[in-house]
Amino acid sequence: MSRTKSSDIPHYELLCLISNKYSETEVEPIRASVAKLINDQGGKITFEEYWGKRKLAYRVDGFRHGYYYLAEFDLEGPKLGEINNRLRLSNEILRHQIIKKHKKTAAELAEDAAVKAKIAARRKAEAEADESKGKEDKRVGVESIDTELDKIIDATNLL
Amino acid sequence: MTQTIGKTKKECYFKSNNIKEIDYKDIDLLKKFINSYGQILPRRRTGTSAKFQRKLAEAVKRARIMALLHFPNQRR
Repeated sequence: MSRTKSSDIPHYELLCLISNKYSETEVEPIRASVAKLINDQGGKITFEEYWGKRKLAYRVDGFRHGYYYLAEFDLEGPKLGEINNRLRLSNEILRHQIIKKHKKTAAELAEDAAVKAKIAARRKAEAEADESKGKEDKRVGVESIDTELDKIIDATNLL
Repeated sequence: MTQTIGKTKKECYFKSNNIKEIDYKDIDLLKKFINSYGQILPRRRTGTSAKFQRKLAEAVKRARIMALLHFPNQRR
C-alpha cells in the first residue's frame, strides 16, 4: 500500500539514552559510535542533537540521570533491524527508540516558515500596542493627578 | 422557553493551534494533557478531537518509554 504511495527514502528518528555510568567526556565517543553505526549501515544523518545530562522521570537500571542523544536519518532497505539489534545489545545504551518520521516537503517547510513569520509579526504588533497603551495610561494618570490635586487645594482653601 | 443546559464546547488544542504532528519529545506540551498521576486525561476534559487524542496517546506512551514522563501511579 504505502510502497506505491511513496517512493522516497524512509526517514527515521532515533533517541537513545546513554547510561550515567560514564562521565561527560566518556559519553562523546559513545555518541560518535552510534552515529558511525548509522552511517555504516548506509544511513545518512540529516539532523543530530545532544541533549546532555538530564534527570529521568523514573529510575532506569538504578540510574536517576542519563544522557540523551537524538539523531534523524534517511535509511533505505532492511538495515533498520541491524541498527536496532546493535543498540539493544550495547551495554552503554539503556534505552533507545527508533520512530518513522514524516519528512517535511519543501512546500510544508515554506508554510511553516510563513506561519512562524505571521505569529512573530502578531506578537510584535501586540507588544507595540501594549507599549503605546502604557504610555497613554501614564499621561492620563498625570492629568488625573493634576485635577485631583486642584480639587484638594480647592478643598483646603474652602476650609 | 427552553434553556440550553450543559457545558460550552471546548476546542481541540491541536486544531486551533494548527499542530499537525505531536512530538513525543515536547514534554511541556504533553504535560497539559496528563494529570499529576501521569494518566492521560479524557477527551471530555480537554476537548481534544478523536484524531489528535489517538496521536496524543501514542506520543505520551513513547515519552514514558524513554523516561521523559513517568508511568501512571509510579513511586519515584
